[in-house]
Amino acid sequence: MLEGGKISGRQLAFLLVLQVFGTVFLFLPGFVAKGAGRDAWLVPFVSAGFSLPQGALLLALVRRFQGATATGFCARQGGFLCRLPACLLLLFYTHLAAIVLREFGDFLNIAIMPETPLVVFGVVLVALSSYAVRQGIEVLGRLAEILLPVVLFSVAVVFILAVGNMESRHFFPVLENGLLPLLKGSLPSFGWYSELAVLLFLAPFVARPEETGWSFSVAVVITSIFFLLVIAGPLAVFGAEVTKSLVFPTFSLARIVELAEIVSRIEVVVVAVWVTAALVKLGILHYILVLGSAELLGLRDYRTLVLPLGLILGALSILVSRNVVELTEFLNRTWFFYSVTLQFLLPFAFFLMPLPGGNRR
Amino acid sequence: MLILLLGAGIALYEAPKLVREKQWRELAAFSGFLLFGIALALALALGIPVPNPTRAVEYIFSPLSRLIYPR
Repeated sequence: MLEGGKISGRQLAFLLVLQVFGTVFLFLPGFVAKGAGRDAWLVPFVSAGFSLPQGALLLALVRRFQGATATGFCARQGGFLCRLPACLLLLFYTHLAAIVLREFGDFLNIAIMPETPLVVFGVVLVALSSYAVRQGIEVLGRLAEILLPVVLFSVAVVFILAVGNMESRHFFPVLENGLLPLLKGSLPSFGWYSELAVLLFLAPFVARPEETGWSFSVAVVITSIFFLLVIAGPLAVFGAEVTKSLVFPTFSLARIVELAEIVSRIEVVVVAVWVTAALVKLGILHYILVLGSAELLGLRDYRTLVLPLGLILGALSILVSRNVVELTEFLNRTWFFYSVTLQFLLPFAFFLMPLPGGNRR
Repeated sequence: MLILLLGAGIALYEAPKLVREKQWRELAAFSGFLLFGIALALALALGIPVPNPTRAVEYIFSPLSRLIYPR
């Protein structure tokens, strides 16, 4: 085992929440409103339903891996065919990490610091995550434990302060055009929820493995509740028509809230908190990449790979799209297929591999 | 230029320990990733066209996404 650290069941749950929720509040409410219109607030419930079969699959795989990560399991089996799905998964996470970096770079660039070159945000975030990853999984777990409550608190505060501007008529009539728009609006969010597949890499480090299922359920519940807040908030305040045309609906909501003309323009504080959420998400992905490639290549230590891979991520984040429009189009239209294929369908391939028998090295 | 400095910095920070402890496998993986990263960053900085992974993925899944989002 390359990693000696252990995390608690609660830390695993918090890591999973941040993995999904770390970027949900940027673009996703807009995509969901585009697909589902007025029914967008029902999407979190549908997505939580989607995570049931996925959870069953992931937990079965975790049991099958017998205390190894997906890559560790493949490396132990030996053979090229066994390593292929794990390699694909790692390539996917490389792409995802670059996209996360890019999303936040674009977000900060558009929302707060339009003069700063994009690459600066990338370098700063990668440097921070490299530092966290070098310290190992325990530090990432504790980071999630400290930051997640703050992130959720900020989301809740924005929602509560906006209650005065909400109009319930934006929610009705429910399911006016049948179920189809609702399903269409749910697709992009399935893309996000399938990122719970990082469980395949994180579960082996839980101190008490029997808590894994519990952590997964808690993560889904917390994610769905707060997803409901970030989508219902903008929907109730702006209405479906406006929400669909906003690039960052939740951020726009944070801009307009105020309390008795004293607490106002809180968006900068809120954004600072959200960046920390993205940092943990990036850290998880960076960690998976480093640990996964070290295990596949049969190395004795994964820490030396942190900085070179960080450099690759930073460069990739510039490459993945030319501008924010291209990025949102990709995330809205293609991300669901890409993400679900690699994180939901591909893991079935792990079932085909023989369990380690007597011929273990 | 900055990229080369950064790459050299990373190499100087990590490599001596690896050489001292004779972890050749680790050293090979480390240099491989580092060289790839530097090459990628340099190509981007100098404006050499690099294939875009997002574009490739979009192309692969375009038949499926057309089904749901007809243009």
